[in-house]
Amino acid sequence: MDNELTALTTIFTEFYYWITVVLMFLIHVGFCMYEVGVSRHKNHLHTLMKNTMLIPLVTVTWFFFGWWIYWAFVNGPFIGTSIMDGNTGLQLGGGFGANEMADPLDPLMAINLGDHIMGVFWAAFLLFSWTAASIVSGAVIERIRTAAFGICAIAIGSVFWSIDASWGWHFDGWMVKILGYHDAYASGVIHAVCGGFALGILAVLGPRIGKFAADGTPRNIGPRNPWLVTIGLFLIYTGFWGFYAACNIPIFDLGPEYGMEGVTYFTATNIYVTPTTLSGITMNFLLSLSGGLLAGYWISKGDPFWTYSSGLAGIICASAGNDLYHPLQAMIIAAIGVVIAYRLHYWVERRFKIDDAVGAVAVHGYAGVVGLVICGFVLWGYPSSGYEGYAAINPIGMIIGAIIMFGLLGFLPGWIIAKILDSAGKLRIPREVEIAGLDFNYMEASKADEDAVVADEK
Amino acid sequence: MATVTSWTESLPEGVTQVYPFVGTEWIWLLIAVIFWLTWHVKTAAGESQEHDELASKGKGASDYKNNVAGW
Repeated sequence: MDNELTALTTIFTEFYYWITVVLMFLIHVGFCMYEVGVSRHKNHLHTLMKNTMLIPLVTVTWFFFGWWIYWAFVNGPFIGTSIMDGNTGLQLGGGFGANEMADPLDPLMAINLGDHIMGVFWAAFLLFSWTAASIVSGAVIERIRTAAFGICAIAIGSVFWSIDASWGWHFDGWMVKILGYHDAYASGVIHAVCGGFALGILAVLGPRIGKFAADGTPRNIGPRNPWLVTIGLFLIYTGFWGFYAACNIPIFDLGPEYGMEGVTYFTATNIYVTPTTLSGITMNFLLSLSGGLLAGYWISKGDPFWTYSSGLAGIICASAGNDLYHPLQAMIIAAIGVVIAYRLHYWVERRFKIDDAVGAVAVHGYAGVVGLVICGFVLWGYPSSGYEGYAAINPIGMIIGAIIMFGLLGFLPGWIIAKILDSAGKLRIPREVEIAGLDFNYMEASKADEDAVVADEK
Repeated sequence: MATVTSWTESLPEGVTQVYPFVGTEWIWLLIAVIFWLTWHVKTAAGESQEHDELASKGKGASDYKNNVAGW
């Protein structure tokens, strides 16, 4: 950087993403507190460690291949044509936008005095990956093996969400070009896909012992510690601010980018490089949170667990179009999404005996899918990109997109991986362990230590 | 082995990579991948052993309550 303006813009962008990463870390703190709060006393520590260990597992695999996948699969391959070089295969090599810079051996994948963006951009996406795996983590607590969950976490966090982001959350992604897919703050590319993935695992994993009565009636295994759940969800809300900011490019000159001769237009943009403002999306974030909370409190008759979760579901539902919606539209869309997700959760639970311990499939999966479909109608006709040759946003494209996210890249891989692990006897913990509690040995050792110390003190 | 031995000489030359042992990245990658895969194998085996031991104790659903430490 050899002039002050370039240095200021670059280092502002670097610092902007760095702040988003720190904020998004709170999402994971929140998920850990939330899951432990929901789990029973005899499973607390294993529940905590299962979620905690996804951090290193997803991080190292995101470094090894997850980031590479995001940049390599934008054309499918063989579905779309890159606007960068006309290629239809994997985007291998070829400068900016190609996968070579995400190769773990590339000079940019380290401290590099010639680059200030790669590391923080990589990290912002990585934090999305943690969230992806953490969404699944909550649904399967108290009966999945930690080793099995680790494999599932890597699959969703470093493979399948990365593919869907490459397809539908990249300025050159084929879903954006051909379908007019629009998902500014990840209703589908994070939430729907993870909800679908969790449902696929749950269908194989089965419910916790005692969740359903002999006649099939579901029982509520309620949160043991509502305060941890409360603080956890507030922290997830807080981290979600960082998530929203991280989905933006903070400063970009769209004039030359769009080939508009002589035009200079500095703005923030979304991931598709179309304009929005951090100011406007802040209003939409708050109104969609409010719409979700209002609807959740109403429909659940003031149940705290569902009210807090509905605030999250409201944001998730409005997120696909929150770069363009009016704040009041965001609020109403959020409320609609919450009602549908809440109803679907209990219908699926009764009909298919699915035990989703934290409502993750509803809050993330159903609300995300509903958000994509609504976005297709409300933003019908908006350009999905500023580049030439892209389909406009439309309902059919968004419905197909929702099916791809929830079904093709979510439910299907989750179900297949769970089936493979289950057939090897490596998915679910033994029945005797589930009854005794995963932490029994820890607790027994701790009690023995206490008894020994007390005996010495007498 | 130091990649940079003088900032006043390196910066004007446009040095970008500053970490040690530039050119050996693939070795570090190989070690990291082996470490990662070994971790899965070892911890999965440990978890199975722990489950087997606990299952053999035949504890009931409320037995853990006798082990709640009070400190």
